Amino acid sequence: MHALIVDDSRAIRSVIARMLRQAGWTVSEAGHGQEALEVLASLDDAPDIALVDWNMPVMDGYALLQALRSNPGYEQMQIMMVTTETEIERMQQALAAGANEYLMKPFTQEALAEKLGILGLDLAA
Amino acid sequence: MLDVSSEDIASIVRMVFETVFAMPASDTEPGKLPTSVASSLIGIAGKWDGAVILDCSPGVARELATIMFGVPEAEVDRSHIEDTMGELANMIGGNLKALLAPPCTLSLPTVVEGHDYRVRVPGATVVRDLSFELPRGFLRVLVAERGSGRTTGVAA
Repeated sequence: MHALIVDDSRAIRSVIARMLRQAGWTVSEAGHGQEALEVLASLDDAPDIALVDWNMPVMDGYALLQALRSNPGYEQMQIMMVTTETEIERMQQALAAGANEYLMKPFTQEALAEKLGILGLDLAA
Repeated sequence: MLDVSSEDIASIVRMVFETVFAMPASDTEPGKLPTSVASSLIGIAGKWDGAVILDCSPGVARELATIMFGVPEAEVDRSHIEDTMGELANMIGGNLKALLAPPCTLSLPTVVEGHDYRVRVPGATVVRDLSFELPRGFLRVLVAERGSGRTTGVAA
């Protein structure tokens, strides 16, 4: 499995990457939406999932979500918003724009595994 | 006027520490900070305007960064501490925002580290002041509300 983690917080990228790598996943990282698009363009194959923060500089997670969902090349890539934006309206907005799942910060490894499991992705090592 | 109690804010802080750091954050009396402090601040704007300010000793910040980045303490540098303190403010501020009447937006976090400085939130006053005891020291959480016409200075 291959995940793209998009978060301006290096700390959060580190936490998620550690959880995924322990399970044998390949991880790519980006610090904001524009960088995520550049990382994706450099990859031969799209990752299985993008884990996307909402509040980021340069290009935020919602703008990235819209950009990805308007590009047929990424229609198979699942997108999970991973954010402190915990209001139900934000969640509905993201899901309506094409996000597959929504994970609220802070989260445990078990919570991440559960959300990935809903999407058919296994975090078991 | 902030319609979120000190206990609600304390619950958020305890939840963040238990979830992210597997660490208890016990309520304690305010005012037990050392002179050297790491601080982070995140603003909330909208129907409620203000900021959440976190202060802790460099030792606490270093320990939190060690856990968050999964690296030995000797390898923790200033950027690890800045990222950890910023994300801590983001998580606590974001979960506080969820308890506020919408719409509100969260700023990107700001981090300060050093000696003898003062964080100011122009036009705001502290409306919640909570302290937590952690294994390596203390964490102070201040919530400053704009609109009182006074300026909050957060000393270090």
